[in-house]
This record gives sequence, structure tokens and C-alpha cells, in this order.
Amino acid sequence: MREVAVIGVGMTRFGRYEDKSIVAHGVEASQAALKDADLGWKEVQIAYVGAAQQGITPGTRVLAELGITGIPMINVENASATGSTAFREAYLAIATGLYDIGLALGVGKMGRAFAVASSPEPAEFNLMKAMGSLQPASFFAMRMMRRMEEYGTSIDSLAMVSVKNHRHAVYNPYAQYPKEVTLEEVHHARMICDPVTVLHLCPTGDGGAAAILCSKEKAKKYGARPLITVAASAFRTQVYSSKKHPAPDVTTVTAQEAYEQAGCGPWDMDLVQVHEAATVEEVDNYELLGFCNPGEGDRLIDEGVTQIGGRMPFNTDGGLLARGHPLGPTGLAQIWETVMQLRGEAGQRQVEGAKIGMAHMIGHDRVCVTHIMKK
Amino acid sequence: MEEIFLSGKGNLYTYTVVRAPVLGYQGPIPFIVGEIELPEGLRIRSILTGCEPERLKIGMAMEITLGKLEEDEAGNKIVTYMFRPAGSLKGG
Repeated sequence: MREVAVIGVGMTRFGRYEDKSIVAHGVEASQAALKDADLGWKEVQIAYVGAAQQGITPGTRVLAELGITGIPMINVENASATGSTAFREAYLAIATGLYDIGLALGVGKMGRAFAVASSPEPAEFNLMKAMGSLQPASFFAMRMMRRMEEYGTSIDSLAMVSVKNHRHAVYNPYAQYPKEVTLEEVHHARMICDPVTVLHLCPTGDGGAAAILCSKEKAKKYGARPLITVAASAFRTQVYSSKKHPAPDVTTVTAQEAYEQAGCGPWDMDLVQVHEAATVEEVDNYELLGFCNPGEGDRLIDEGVTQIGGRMPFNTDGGLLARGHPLGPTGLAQIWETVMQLRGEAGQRQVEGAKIGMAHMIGHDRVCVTHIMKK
Repeated sequence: MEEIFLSGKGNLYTYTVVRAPVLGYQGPIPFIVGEIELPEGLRIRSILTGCEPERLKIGMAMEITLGKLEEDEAGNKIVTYMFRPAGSLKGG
């Protein structure tokens, strides 16, 4: 395996668009990444395109607009971890030495109401839907109720995650909701599932995000900017776990693998992007990623450790809650943010002296993809 | 692989009151959905019935019952399993 660099990133502003297709989002994001890398489309040798619930071969539909060059294009789907998986596969294609330059792209377009498994599905899924048991919001509400009971977590601590991430998004020009919210606004927003108000949950939306990966050897000739390399790429699925046969959470296992690859530990990071489709997930992930023991995550949000300016800023671009989460591109938006931060190009949300950062996504409860990048 | 008989009893692991419409669900809103930890080692999701949400407490003993989910176009009742606090007089 050889070292891989990220030489270009680009994205579109996440949001709800009436007249903008995944093709438009994908082309805009890819062109921005190519421009950022100072490369032409003809130099790209392989493309991985992440899209969830976007019909047949979205990759070729999107990338044909850039030019029909005959390169291999692989469509990737892994629910929320779709974009991260596309990045991971492009990384492998280059790390193994088969290709020198690859594109990882994610695109997404969603309706207002997101339902798990809205396409062809087994009969038991339909039954669970009919029983009201397959709604992401109720899943997170139940997790929140359990956490509050088990660890005594307060609703204020969880609401603070939304306040913090919305504050971060204010300085991200590509965020879906770049607007501050107060603790009171989070508490009194529309109740979806007790105690989860709409401001505890990520929005649905549209968007595109892309990264150009290149072998480190070849990347040296591109630009004078600090070279950002992939220090770890870890990908796992959950091992079967029950009360009788407990197994560690997939996030813990994946993060451990990533730390080993990068030769570092959690507190060696300068910033972290995590999957937080709901506020409670960010606090859970402080613990699962090894930043503290189970039940101690509340302190990290209460004491401001995870805000920009704190010792370990999480979700510096606004996270899923405020930057947005159109499924396909989300993992690549995390890569975009990490690269911008490590280059020192993150403007008013810049984490001072950032040298190493982690990006973590969970796909439909079972899949975990985690990357560590450094300069 | 071995088949296990489930007793239909368990403890409330967590729950929530769902107040917004849910795609694919035709029953009344709000409704309560929860997770029941079964002594046989499983945790399952279920609609909760037979009590007001204020009476629910994580850890309390629950038992299985049958309840109406919805009616089809011909007016037939669609019935499913639900859980209620153990010792309740009747289901929902």
C-alpha cells in the first residue's frame, strides 16, 4: 500500500432545491474539486459515485456531463455512510497502486419526509413500517430517553449540541442552516417524538460533494499548498451483539482500527467530524470513539470542549444538524471540511493549528467508515 | 440454530410518544412506541398500549397483548402484537 493525498475538494451548498437535479449538484461539486486540484477531467482515471435512493447508475448519469472518457465508474450506496464509502474505495484504488488519480463524489436529493427503506423491501419491513417502528426520529428519541435514564443526561446538554453545531454552521458558506439557535428555541421547536424536537434532528436536503485523490508521489507536483494525506481508512460493520453475547459497538471497533493505522489516539486529533443525525448521537460518539468513558460524554458538551475554541472541536462545519445531511454527499462534506481545516482555509471557523482530523460516518446503524487525515 | 419460545413478558428498555406523522403507519397519532427487553435475550420494538405515557417508567414489567393497528378498505381489523404494563386489565 502506498500513501494517498487529497489534492482537491469541492461541494455545493446543501439545502432544498426545486429545480436542481443530482446531475447539477454532482457536476458543480466535481468541477469545484477539479479546479481546486488544478486538474482536468481527462486526467481522472477512476470514479466512485455515492448516491442513496437515486435510481439506476447515478454515477454515469452525472459524470457524462463532464465528458464521456471511458473510465471505470462505480456506484456506491451505504445509507448515511455512502459518501464516506466512495472516498474509501477511491483511496483503496490508489493505495493499491492500480490508479494514480481518482474522484470520489456524493450526490443526494431527498423529499421532506425521509423514510427508512422506501424502495423494494422485504415484507417484514412493510410490517414494521405499518407498526410505526421504522422512523429514524423515534429511534433517536428512544435512544435519548434511555441515555437520560441510564446516565442522567439532561435535555439541556443534548440541546447544546444543536446550539453548538448551528453556531459552527454560521461560518460555513455551504451549510443548509447557517443560523444560530438558542437553547430555548431547541426546547420549544416542534415536538416530533418526546423529547426530540425538530431542532434535535438533522434536516433532509439536496447537495453534492467531491474529493480528488492522488498518489502522494504524484501529488507532490500539484500546487504549493500543504499536502493533505490519508493517515487511516477504516471500514467495519457491526458484529452480532445481544445481551447474552455482547459485542462492542461498530464505531468503537472502527475507530480503534483507524487509530492503529494512524499510530495515534483520540486526543491526538485537532478536530473531529462525526455522524450526528440527532443530538444524542454526537454525545454517544464522544464515548464510542474513545474520548471519554461511557456516561461521561455530557461533560464534553457542557464544558465547551467540543466547540470551536475548545480542546477538541466536533462538527466544525455544522455537522449533519446544520450543514445538512443529503445522504450521498455527507461523508464527502466531512472530507471537504477536514481538508479545508488542515490547509488553514476554513475562514472564521478555523481551528488554530489544525494538523490532524478525523471523519466518521454511520450507515443505517450497522456500517461505519472512519478516516483520519493529516498534513 | 434453535427455536426459542418467547414468554411474552419483558421489561421496558425505552419508549417515546410519536407526535408527527410516520410514513407507512395508518393508526392514531400520537401513539407510543417502545423497546421491550425480553428475558430470552432479545430486545424488540413494539407499540405500547393500555396506559397513559405518564405512567410508563423505564425498567417496568410489560406483557404482550393484541391490539388494533388499522382497518383495511373492506373494514377488516388489522391486529398486531403490542405491549402493555404487566397486570393491566385490558389492551387498547
